[in-house]
Amino acid sequence: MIKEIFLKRDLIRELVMKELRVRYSRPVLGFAWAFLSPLFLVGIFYVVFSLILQVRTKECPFILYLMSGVFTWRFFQDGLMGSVTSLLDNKNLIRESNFTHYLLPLSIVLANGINFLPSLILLIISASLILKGLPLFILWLPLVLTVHLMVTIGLSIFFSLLYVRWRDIKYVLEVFLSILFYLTPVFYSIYLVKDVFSGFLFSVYVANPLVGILNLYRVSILKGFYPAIQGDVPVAILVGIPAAFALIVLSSALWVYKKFKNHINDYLSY
Amino acid sequence: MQLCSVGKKYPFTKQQFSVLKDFWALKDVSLDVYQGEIVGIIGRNGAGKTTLLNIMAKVLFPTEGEVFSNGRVLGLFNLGVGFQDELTGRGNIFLNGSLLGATKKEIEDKLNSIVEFSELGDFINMPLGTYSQGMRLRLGFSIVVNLKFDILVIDEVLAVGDVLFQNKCFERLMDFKREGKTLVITNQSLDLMERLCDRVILLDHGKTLFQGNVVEAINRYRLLLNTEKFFVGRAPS
Repeated sequence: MIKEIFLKRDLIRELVMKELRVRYSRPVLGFAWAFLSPLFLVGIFYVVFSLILQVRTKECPFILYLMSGVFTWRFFQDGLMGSVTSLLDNKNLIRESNFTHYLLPLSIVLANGINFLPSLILLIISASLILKGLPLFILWLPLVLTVHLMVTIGLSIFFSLLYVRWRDIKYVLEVFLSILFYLTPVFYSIYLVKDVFSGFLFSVYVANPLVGILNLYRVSILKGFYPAIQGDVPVAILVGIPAAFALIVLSSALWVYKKFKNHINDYLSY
Repeated sequence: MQLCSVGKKYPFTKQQFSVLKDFWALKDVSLDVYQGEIVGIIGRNGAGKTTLLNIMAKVLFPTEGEVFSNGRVLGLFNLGVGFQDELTGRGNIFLNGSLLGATKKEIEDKLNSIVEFSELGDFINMPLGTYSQGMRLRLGFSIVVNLKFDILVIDEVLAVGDVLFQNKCFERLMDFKREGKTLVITNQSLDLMERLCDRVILLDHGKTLFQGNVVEAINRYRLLLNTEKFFVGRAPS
């Protein structure tokens, strides 16, 4: 599959450029919206959670905790919601020739990834300024990005294929993502969960691969984060669950595609 | 290219369409297309021509039967297909070209000849949404004929071009024939079919009524056109 992607790289580049151009060429502020939107979200979350609700995070300053949570969660959410309808939305491109369908959700996730980069850089700069330096784990960052990408791409391929046949999937995914948002430590600390719930429920909570991915980002960007959570989350789970999940979800999505690819176009007419 | 007993069923799934729950667009269609010939497919609207062409271009896959083909197949279907309205004509050349399997370098090399053939002038830098049907045809056709292929499949789109462009297309298609490429064409202009095709296949309600001599196929089609009542699916009860 990697070989196929390499061969089709021109097409992937065209699809990603199309997505970005369609999104940013007409709005006046253009590409600035790529990080203006998450930045506003961080702003309002800070006001509500830190000032009004007085949420505190002991591992690091709340503003950094928020930025690392919101930016990475937005990439995940926008990547999934943007790609779930992609096969049907682009049916006129698909029906041109024998098209490798998974390239579409792939290109949308990649476009969202390009969207994500400015916010990520902003986060790294703010973190190094506020915390006076970066942890050694920053070298992990490319790996963390890869795992995050794999998970998002795998799920996006899977959901976009399902959507063609069962249009309810879009709404199911919406609900699922909003619930998952609250079950992931975007704006609150994990140790708060540990205090409230029993050991078993806590392990269920940590089994969520997104929890692992968010933690990995924070460990690699925010100095002093790893020592703070060392006690709560063993390394094996921290790294193991997201990585295993990424491999499983990507390979099953591609297997499902291979099995049904000859039937997809039949359901694309309406 | 060879089609053996090909059948195509469309699964209409929602309850309100259950009247046509299983619509067999094609049933037991067998035909051979030999290298270097121009094959025409004629039939009334809804006979199954576009479905057949889609199957040849591997956009759709048969429910029954098998398709064999040797070489690269490119298709020109209805004029919205393969284009993105927000991108410019030039941007669409790259997008469409890569959808059809060309590399960026191939497209760059051919960019000038594509733009020239289309005669679109400055409009090549305008968003595709501003194009008329005829302009879209010009762009679509220019892209397809400048790329490498072995078999070319053209649906009923040539009709929207003006006479000058139609003549240009005709000449280009004859050039392809001389180069040994294979063409499969569908059109309602029986005159064009007579001038262009070596063999014609007549399709009606998903079945091949006749394959062979051009003039005879066209005569049989004319007979069919004289039928009083015609329904695409089944006659309403």
